[in-house]
Amino acid sequence: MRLRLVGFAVVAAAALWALAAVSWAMETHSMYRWDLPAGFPTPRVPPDNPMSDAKVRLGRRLFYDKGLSVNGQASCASCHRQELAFTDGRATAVGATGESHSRSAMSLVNVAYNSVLTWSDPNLRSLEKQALVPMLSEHPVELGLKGREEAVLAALRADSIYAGLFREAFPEPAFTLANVAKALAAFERTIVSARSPWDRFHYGGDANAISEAAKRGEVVFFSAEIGGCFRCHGGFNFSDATDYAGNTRAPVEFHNTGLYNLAGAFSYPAPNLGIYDHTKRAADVGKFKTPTLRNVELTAPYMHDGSIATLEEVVDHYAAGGRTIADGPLAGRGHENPHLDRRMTGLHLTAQHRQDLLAFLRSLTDTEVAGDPRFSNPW
Amino acid sequence: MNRKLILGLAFAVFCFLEWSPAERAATVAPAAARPTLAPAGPFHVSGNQIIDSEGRPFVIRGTQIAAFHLDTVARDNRAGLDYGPHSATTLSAIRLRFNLNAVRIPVDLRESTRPGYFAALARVVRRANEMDLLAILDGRGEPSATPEAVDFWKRCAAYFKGYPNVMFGALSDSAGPESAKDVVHAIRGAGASQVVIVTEAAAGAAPDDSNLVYEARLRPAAHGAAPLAARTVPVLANGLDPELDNAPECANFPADPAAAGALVEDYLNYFDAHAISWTVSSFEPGKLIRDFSLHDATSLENGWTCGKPDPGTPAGIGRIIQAHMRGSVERELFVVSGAGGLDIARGAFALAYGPVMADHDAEAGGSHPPLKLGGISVQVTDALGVTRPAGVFWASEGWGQTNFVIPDQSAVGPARMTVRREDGSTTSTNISIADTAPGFVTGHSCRGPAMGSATQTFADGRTVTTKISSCKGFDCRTIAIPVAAGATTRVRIFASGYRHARSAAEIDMRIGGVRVPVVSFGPTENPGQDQVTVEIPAQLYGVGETDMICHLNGRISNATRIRIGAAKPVS
Repeated sequence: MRLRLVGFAVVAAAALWALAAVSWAMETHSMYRWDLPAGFPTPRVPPDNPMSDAKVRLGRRLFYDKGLSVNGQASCASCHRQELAFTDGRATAVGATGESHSRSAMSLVNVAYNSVLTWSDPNLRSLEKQALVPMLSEHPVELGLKGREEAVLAALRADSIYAGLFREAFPEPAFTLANVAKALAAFERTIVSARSPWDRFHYGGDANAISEAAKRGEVVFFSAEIGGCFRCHGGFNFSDATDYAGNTRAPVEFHNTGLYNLAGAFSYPAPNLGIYDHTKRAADVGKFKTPTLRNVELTAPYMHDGSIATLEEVVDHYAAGGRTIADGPLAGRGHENPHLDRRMTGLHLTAQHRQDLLAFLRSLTDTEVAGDPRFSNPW
Repeated sequence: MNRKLILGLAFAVFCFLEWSPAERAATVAPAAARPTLAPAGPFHVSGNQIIDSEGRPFVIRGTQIAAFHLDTVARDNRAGLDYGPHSATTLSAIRLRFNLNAVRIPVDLRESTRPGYFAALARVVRRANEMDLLAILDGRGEPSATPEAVDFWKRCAAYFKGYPNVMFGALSDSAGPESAKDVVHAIRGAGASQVVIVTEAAAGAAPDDSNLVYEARLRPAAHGAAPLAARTVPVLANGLDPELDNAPECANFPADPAAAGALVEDYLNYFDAHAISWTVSSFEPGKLIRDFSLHDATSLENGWTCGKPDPGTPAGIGRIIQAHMRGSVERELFVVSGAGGLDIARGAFALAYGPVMADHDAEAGGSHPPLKLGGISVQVTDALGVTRPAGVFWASEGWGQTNFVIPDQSAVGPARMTVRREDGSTTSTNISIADTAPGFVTGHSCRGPAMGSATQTFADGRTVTTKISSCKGFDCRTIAIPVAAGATTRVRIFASGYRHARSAAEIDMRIGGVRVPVVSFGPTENPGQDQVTVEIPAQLYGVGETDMICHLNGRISNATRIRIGAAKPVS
């Protein structure tokens, strides 16, 4: 009988806690209002991490907090600098301890709309899970928190500002690594870039928002007969790996754009083999996600490994239908890569087309997002 | 609708063209356009106007076509995948796609004494006239003052004096006022009363003739049009071509595509504002068009290098002319009928090319197309301001095409078509809705073999039905329509824009220039598509492959090809 009562009490307590949590979540969720411009759908938000202003505030602080690194030298913002559209300007990212990552830091602009995350992990679809990767990864060390989780949480708990922020953002127990990730994810979802000159032209009806060259470049970009860029960089987010609330999830395509064609077992240099790393299918070597082109002017160098320095060279790469590296260990004709994407046929771009296409790409630069105080360092 | 047909329609206007939450911003909202007036000669001059036989001012909007040479007649008239410059298909493109109403045909004075010269030239002139194009015969090859030239014009005028829709470009080459008098007298002496076009130089000492038009040569870079409006005589502005392949001339032309385009557009607007006639550039690859296969217009937007034409992407003012004549903007939506023309019949399908920007390429089958496809919807706002959704059966991702049906209840007159996307952005353009606008469905780009079926009915009641064309991809071929003495052959042709014709009698269908009786017409089960059934008269038996065109309520169809077999005994 006594056991039954104890059991009942435990179940009742759990139920009450769950009810309170759900009620809290519903309350905070219902309070959040997306400030989305015309044409931008509501991002998909996981049911277990509803958006709230409190969570976004907390996430922003955490994002810029160097205390979330092994040596107090780095934060998320170290590799995702606002002025560079939340990239780092490096070919490949560098962790808190100086270890180099093998790939380029991806922009966090409009990350809320990414159907998959990182360059080449077809299974990573949750920002909450992704946020834990740089914190805990060891190969390479990014923020280097593996094995220091409790110490970090204790430090957060001891901080009076965090104490308030966590209390507002989460029900008890608030101070968990999962909640840190949730708050970071919530903040990152708010980084929406939609105020570029092209947006003002396309959605805002402002005929003078972009130059005539950019207007011509838009035709080049969206014409199958000329540039055909939209075939992969399509939609409002200029990427074919886009998702949002209410969207029917389609399989995400990854593309081999002929950056390399090495002799030997793998046509791409290790360790960046594309989604092959996950699928182990030979045909998947060199296949990477299509990143958004929003703010592309700010995100050099380009490609998954930062191996193309300028936007001009990127256009030339696509015009050539792949990159030819004449000599050295990476020598090869990318256009002849056996798994080259079928769209990489090369382009007949006139000098005017090239110049106009570049003008169009630069019209996607949202200077406001790069300086928006809502996304800036609160420290 | 079968898949091939949809794909055929989907690609039917790739030939044309290139070219707004708040509406996407157009560069300049153009005025709604109307088809240019078809020539209805004989013409006469009154003040500074050219007046047609119905008393209407006629403003020439034309271009030059390839020179006529007796030795190249077969090549210039060719049909097939690469249409000759004098073929009905090419002339049809000039009339419908570019909305022009005149062609200048350079003729070589020195060839004209060869037997059969004028008869062969007359066939080209008649073909142009049949396509609602005024033919201007431009004398070339000899200075105008020579006795040979005067003699040529006497013979030419004598031959064409009965052609009301011909004008004589007697002095296209430089010549002084005195030679103008000689030539004009020669033409009049031969009994021809049509308008003669003389050079500006002749204006100072005008020949004693009231039926003259004065040609003003233009150099686009020189901004030389302004004085033309003050003229008290009719003026034909000619030479509006940037001559990009001529390095010294091109060097005077703005190097920036936007500035160059604006300059050409300024001229065109000026001419419109003052009702000044013009002929521009020439209808040949590297000038107004890229090739004779699809008649795609050239663009300045691709850039150019003076004196070094790029055969892969030839630069030219084609799209500027095309957009201007269609009341559109080069980079915005461009909507055509099933014939490729400006007027679209209510209830008929239409094709819009430009920033469609659907979510993905999508097509819909069935007789009731959806109101939303590929994430876009189309609305038509008619002349009464009523907005209706249109059924959509093709939508392209990116800069592409959407095929849709003009709501049958739409009012006739200028209208507005709007593409609305899922992201809330919209793009609109002007269209023109008519009751009828004849067009034929083809397998590729509004040209080539007509599509449909032929049914032979024998005296014993037996019937045999065959297709009249077949396509492998875009390679379409005619199939001989079987005919036989003692049997009747009726051909059911897929078409658009006929369903609101008042009677079969007003449908002027011509095969090889011969009017054929229309047995029936009306909608088919496919969205926006009609059928026209004609009976093949015996006089066409054995004619082989020839052109088929139609006039209906003052509008002309696209020119298509059809093959009539030879009569065989009934077996």
